[in-house]
Amino acid sequence: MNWSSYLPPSPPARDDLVWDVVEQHFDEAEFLTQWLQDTFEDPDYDAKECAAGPEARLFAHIEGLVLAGEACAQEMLRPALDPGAEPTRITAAALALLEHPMAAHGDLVFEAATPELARPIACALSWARRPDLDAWLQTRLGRAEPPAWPALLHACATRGLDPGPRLAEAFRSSEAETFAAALAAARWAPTRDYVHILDTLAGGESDLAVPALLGGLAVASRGAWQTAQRRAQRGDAAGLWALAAFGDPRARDWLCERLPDEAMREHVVFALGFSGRAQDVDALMPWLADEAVAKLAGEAVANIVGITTAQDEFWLESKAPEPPPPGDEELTPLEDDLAKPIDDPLASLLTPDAEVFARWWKDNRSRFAAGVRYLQGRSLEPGVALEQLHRGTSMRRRHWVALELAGRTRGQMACPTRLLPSLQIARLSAMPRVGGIDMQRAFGQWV
Amino acid sequence: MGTGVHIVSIGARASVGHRAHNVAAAARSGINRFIEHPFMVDRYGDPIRVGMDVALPPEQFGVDRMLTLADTALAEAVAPIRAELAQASLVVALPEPRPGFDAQTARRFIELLQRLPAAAGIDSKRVSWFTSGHAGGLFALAGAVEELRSGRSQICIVGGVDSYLHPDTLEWLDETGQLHNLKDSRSSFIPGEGAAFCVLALRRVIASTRLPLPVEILGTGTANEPNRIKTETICIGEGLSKAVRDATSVLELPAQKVGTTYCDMNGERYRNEEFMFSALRNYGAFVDTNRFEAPADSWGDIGAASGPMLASLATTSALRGWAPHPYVVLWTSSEGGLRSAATLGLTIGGAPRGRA
Repeated sequence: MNWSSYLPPSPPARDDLVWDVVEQHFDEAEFLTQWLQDTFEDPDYDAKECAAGPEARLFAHIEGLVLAGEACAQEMLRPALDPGAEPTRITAAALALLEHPMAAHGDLVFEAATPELARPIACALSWARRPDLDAWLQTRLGRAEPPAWPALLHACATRGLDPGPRLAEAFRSSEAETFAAALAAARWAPTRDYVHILDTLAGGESDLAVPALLGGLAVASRGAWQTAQRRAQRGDAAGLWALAAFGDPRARDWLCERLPDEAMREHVVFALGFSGRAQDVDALMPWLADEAVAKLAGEAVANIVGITTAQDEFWLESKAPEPPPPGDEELTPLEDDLAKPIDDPLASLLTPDAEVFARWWKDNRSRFAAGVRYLQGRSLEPGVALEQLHRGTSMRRRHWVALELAGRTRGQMACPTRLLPSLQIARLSAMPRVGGIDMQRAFGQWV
Repeated sequence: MGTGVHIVSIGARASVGHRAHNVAAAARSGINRFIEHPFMVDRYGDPIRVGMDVALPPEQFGVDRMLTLADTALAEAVAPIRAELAQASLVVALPEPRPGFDAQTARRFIELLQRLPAAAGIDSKRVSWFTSGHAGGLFALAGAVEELRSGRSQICIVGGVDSYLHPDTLEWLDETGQLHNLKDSRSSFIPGEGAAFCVLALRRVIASTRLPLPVEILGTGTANEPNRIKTETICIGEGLSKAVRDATSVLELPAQKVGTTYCDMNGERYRNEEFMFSALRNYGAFVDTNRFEAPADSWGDIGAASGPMLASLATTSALRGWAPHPYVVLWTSSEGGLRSAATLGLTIGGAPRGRA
């Protein structure tokens, strides 16, 4: 007997609820939805930390909403599926309705997948944990009217789910949102029927070019690879990353030589962190002291050699004296605090102590074989990449590690990195290992 | 291993919820409901912070207030077994005698409790109570296990009810320095209120109800602490250590280590230190003795309701599949020296019980 959807025999009636507690569950769920969304680009979290932190907290409140029963669903959650509500509130409400054992509430979420609510509903469908959600989503997509396609296709894309025959129709749509959603979902189709669309779009200049390029690389499209090389020449971030991940030694050397180019530097530094060779670390070392890119360079070098942010001696912030705690009179008023934009996740990157890095590198360089790619101090191979997707590599970097692994295995070891972290971890644990994959080789040598 | 006694159903009411599952969901997600009492002030003239059930009128206190709390929780607990109530016994843990609550109050409470619709069908000769405070509920649970195993009862309902929100009680806490305030309290707690009931039975007796039985009581332990709080003696956790040791002695270690502990620690320094000694003495039975839940963070100190409330939290965690480990310890400590503990085996979300 599976009790995971067990509800008490006498669910609470309206008057049984402590409504301000239920409202707090909702408010906190809304806040944590935003937080969880932000952590997908956060350099401070890895997948396990994210699952145990914001995700677990979010779902504790979602559980509070589910257990508040029918009255909560009718009076609080269903009315929140409204275009006038905050997107994060819509997502939180939809999540709670999807987790509710009464299918009618979940059906309502699918019905709310209109163009106005497409993004928050797609987010909820992407994060819902109920085991039957994948099948439910595919069935509903098969029956859905065109206005619902963008949300449902985006949810398929985030869940790494085959969108089925609806994909072909969506690609024929004249609606930009539908087309973009189809593009995002295409890499998860079991056939290569859509690769030519990805290639064509990647070669263009529209807003869809980069998503198409990355989708193509994820399924090891030659066309996408050729486009990536062209884009790299003009300093495009995705192209430069592709060169670092899939290029040959000459391409990697070319990347190192681009570092003096100020216009390209930021993207090149980021990309070299994925190239992973000792030569790349050599090239990056001078930039650890450069104010503009020091944090990025520190992150890149640390990612290659396996220095962690917990190793205080490497980071200047750890050595700075603690500022005194503010007195009550100095506290920012709550309203002012709430009015501030959410911090750029990159702001939480640490600043490397260039001298300490340099000393360490001098002492340890001999451990790193020339020409070999490393990830977190270990020679890069599928097992290491898989392990790092579980734990170690930050949320912001693991999208790229996963993308390379997917490309090199032609989609067989593909992890949807915007899926709920706990679900990602479960998928990674069950992921079949593909033999004969050499992550040291360049694109032309393995496709 | 185990007693064969299962928790069949639960009911609970506290400041954060009026149903067991809602209470558990709020505690799990860290929600609290501490408010300033509408009219009671402490010795500094500041409003007293309390874990008050705001659905009840603030001017209501004593037996009336406790009855309302008990009615909700008992009704919820017995709803699934109402047809079986004639063969059930009921034991209720009540506060230790203190200003605002004495033996006469206890008798009157029990008398009126039996007249509640929720208690209809329970044979008055099978109703008992004792005024042992925090540890009373788990002490009653240990007694119920024996009662059921011996066949003297087919079903036992174990509950606890308490409300510190009585003017005399609050003033007394203020005088003894146990009342939390923002000025000078260093070893104090936030007074709360609540009620919880657990229906217990042997699996074979209750099988026909087809209710999920996610929690088995594996072991219990009770002891007396000679070095009590508010005395000149120094507590080194002897009583609690023994209660926990006895409760966990049934576990096959190291395979069945305890992963989660629910306790009634309330912020008083004495209680923290007592726990520390017990943790040091019993560490071998635990995955991590520091991994504990003290839900007084959510609703304050709920005194005699603590034990059944903790059992209710563990039961909900198993039913809803969020319990992180299959082996759980509950423990509680009374001012009078009674210490009681119970080890529960959880079948989480219907999955077979495995290793901790």
